[in-house]
Amino acid sequence: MSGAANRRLQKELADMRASGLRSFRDIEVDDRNILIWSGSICPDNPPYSKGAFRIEIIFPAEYPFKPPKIAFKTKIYHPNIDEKGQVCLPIISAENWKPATKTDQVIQALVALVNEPEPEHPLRAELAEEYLKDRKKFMKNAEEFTRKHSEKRHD
Amino acid sequence: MTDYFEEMNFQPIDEDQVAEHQLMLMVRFLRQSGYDELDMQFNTDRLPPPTSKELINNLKSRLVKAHDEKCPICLAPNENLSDETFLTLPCGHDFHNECILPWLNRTNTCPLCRSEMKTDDEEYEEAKKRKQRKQENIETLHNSMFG
Repeated sequence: MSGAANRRLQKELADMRASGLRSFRDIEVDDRNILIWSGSICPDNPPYSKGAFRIEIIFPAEYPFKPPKIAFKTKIYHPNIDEKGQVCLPIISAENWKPATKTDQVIQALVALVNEPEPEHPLRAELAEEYLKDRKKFMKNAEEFTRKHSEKRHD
Repeated sequence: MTDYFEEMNFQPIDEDQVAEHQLMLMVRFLRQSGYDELDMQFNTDRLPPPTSKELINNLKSRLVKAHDEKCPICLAPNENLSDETFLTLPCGHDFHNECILPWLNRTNTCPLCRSEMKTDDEEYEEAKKRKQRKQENIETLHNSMFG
């Protein structure tokens, strides 16, 4: 790993821990490998507002010249997050990435997407359709799914 | 009534040349319908080419003072870096010398505002000009109708 990636990640981690984001908690980083972070996304909006969702952020060795990757470790019923936990977030796509983008901005974009699904660009077309055509049913299913699969929240 | 070909000063195509002409029509259609952009869109994983060497060599530089502003790439304050240089890009944003150079040697955008800089890649510059001209044509057309 380059010294640049290491130094910048140490700084970002310290800043994030100090600022204490409400929507991203319990940040854990392996002492031996600062390139892998995990933490809990705590959305404000129903149907996800009663759960916490573990995510993993993986930074490349070339960070910040290449973007990090994000994966959900907790199952979630969401049009933009697939069964494997993959999520399509424009801010960290190769063509949109810029080195001045900080991890807290990436997290905020992710939380915004969880709170407000974008059914126009779905990863799970069937959920996007349900979201658009039968919102009540979608909310019921997603709440049920959240209760079953998500982590406990310590609000 | 005059003959269509005569009026337009066109030559009718011979039977055996029809296939060739259809191919040319196809090419023209693809160009006009923005095939270039399509090509660019398919190559989204590829970043634009590096910034022009000449531009990089002529960037304005200044010495960093202790407790100067942070560099947006490494986010480090400059406590122990009083001998470091900041380079200023044409858009006015500045970064540590050693932070910005690896990025400029890879692509042509500002790490902060994404404004594009000149490259040494002729093909890329040509495609960019074509795109710009096309945009201007559309604007001229629009203004001539609604302006």
